[in-house]
Amino acid sequence: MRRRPIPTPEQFTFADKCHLAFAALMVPLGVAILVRTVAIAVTVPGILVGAAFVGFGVHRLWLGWTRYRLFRQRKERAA
Amino acid sequence: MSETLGAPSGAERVELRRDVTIWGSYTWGYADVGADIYVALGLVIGTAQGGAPLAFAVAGLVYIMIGLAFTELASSYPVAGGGHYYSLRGLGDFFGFLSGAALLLDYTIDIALFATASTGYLNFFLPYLGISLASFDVSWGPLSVNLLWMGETLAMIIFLRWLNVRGVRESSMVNEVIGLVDLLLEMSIVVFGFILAWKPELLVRQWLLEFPEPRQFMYGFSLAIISFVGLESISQAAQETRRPATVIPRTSIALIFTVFILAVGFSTVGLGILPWQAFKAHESDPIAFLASNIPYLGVIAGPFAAFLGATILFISSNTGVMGDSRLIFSMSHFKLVSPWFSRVHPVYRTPSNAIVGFGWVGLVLTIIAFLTPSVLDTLANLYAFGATFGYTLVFISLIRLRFADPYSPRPYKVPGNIKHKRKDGTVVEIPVLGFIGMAGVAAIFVTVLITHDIGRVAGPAWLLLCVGYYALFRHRNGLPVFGSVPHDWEQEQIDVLTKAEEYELLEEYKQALIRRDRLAGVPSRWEGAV
Repeated sequence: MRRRPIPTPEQFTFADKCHLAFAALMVPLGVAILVRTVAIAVTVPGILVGAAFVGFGVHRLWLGWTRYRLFRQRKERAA
Repeated sequence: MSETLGAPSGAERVELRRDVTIWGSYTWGYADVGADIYVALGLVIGTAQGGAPLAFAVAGLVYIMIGLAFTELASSYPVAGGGHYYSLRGLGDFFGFLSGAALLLDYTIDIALFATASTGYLNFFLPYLGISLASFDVSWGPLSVNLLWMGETLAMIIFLRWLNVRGVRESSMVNEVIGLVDLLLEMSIVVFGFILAWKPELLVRQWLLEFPEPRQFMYGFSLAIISFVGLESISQAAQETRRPATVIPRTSIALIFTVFILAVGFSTVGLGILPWQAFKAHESDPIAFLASNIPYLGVIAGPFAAFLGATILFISSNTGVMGDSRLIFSMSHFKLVSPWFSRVHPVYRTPSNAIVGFGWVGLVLTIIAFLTPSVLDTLANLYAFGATFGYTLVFISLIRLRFADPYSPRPYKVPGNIKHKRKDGTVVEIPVLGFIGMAGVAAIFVTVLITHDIGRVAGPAWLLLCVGYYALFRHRNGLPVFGSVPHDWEQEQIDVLTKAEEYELLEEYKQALIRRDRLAGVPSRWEGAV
């Protein structure tokens, strides 16, 4: 896919905040899965799902944070 | 989905209105793929036992590659037809038909399988009404059938056919709402299951002590592929999607990863809450059963999941009806099947012959499947056969089209390409991941043939029957059976991009064709068109 830059958001909505909150919750959930499973034995499903939650959460956090940063820049430029 | 299917006249192609948005495209796919886990979870855990999460993960990795291949093809060739169209362009008429026949099998099984599963989830409520499903079991010698479940399923299929003959104008909006609610529910079950009920020691114990025999695991792994079938719905809807080159890659990739995480998440959370034997006993409603075992929320989550499962599976079954009619429409346009199939109803303007014709096939398949020991397993066998066969052809087409049609702009390319300069100066990108994906899906196809007793007989029998029909139809109409009728693919591609309003890609395509003609030293018919 041609890399398209993330479009600058006109507003940072409630939905964006929800996305950020859910992403922030996914990371500790993934860590908890990883720690609890590895404490018993190293298994493929435990590591896979734990890492997926962490990875997905981090990605969503990065995406949300980038949108927020772009929104702030736009706001500052407008001011 | 609003339809504007009309009767095809001569060479003119009937157009579908482009009103599917980015969210519509995502939910169209999700209503199809997201429903799969409602069926697959019980079947896969029942067979792959403690290894079920691995079975889902391995099948999921192959599915990611399939998804990426579909994303490339659907955004490059945004027309209805999906895998059949790509095979037709890449490999010619015969393979286009073969791929279409495999997809037709899948859509027809899709109708039967999801209608059966939908009524299976409805039956979750029977104990609340004081009705025992087992009391409707009837046996005739070696054959046994549950009359209530079969009756409900047949009634649902007939209702769906009637609904589709009358027209399906409202279903896109319904898809969007149900798709969103279902996505939230599935995520909630996984997340709350992990937080409130998950016991890692149970998962680890089942993983270490109850891992199945290799053959059993392979069977489970090949069944797990059915939890990912349906992504091609996005490409089926490509002809109705606004700005498909922009929308399809985004929705496809989002969908691929959502479904992958949910499938692996469900199996991991499930085996950390309940033993695999419990899922085997609840093959017809595994998600509702899992949800009802989550503390505090289970009382509400169980029935809600059953209701939502029945609804989304009903929608998915409807997607099969729509897929059948769109596919047969496309096949008829390319003279692969009789125009009789694409004839539209004089009042409702829907392809009623295709809907009713394949409705009968679906009904017969359902009755036969109900006479086998496990109706869901039988239908899943056939589903896996059709899907893996069709996907193998899609990968071959992807590779072939990179060589045969390097000029069509590809808004998305499967990652991992090696550039190769040909003698005529054109550069072809060889898709390494395409080869790996082809090997992966072919391996699942071979596994299906080895381990699925019903799939390896009924699947090839269906294909042979279809090939027999195709040979007869082409011979009678003076068309080559193994060869192809001449197609003006360049004009077709230009028309497709123009109608999709992808003007940037259109210019890019014309320039590439002109460059090719200049290199060859021949006048280009596109020279004045730029």
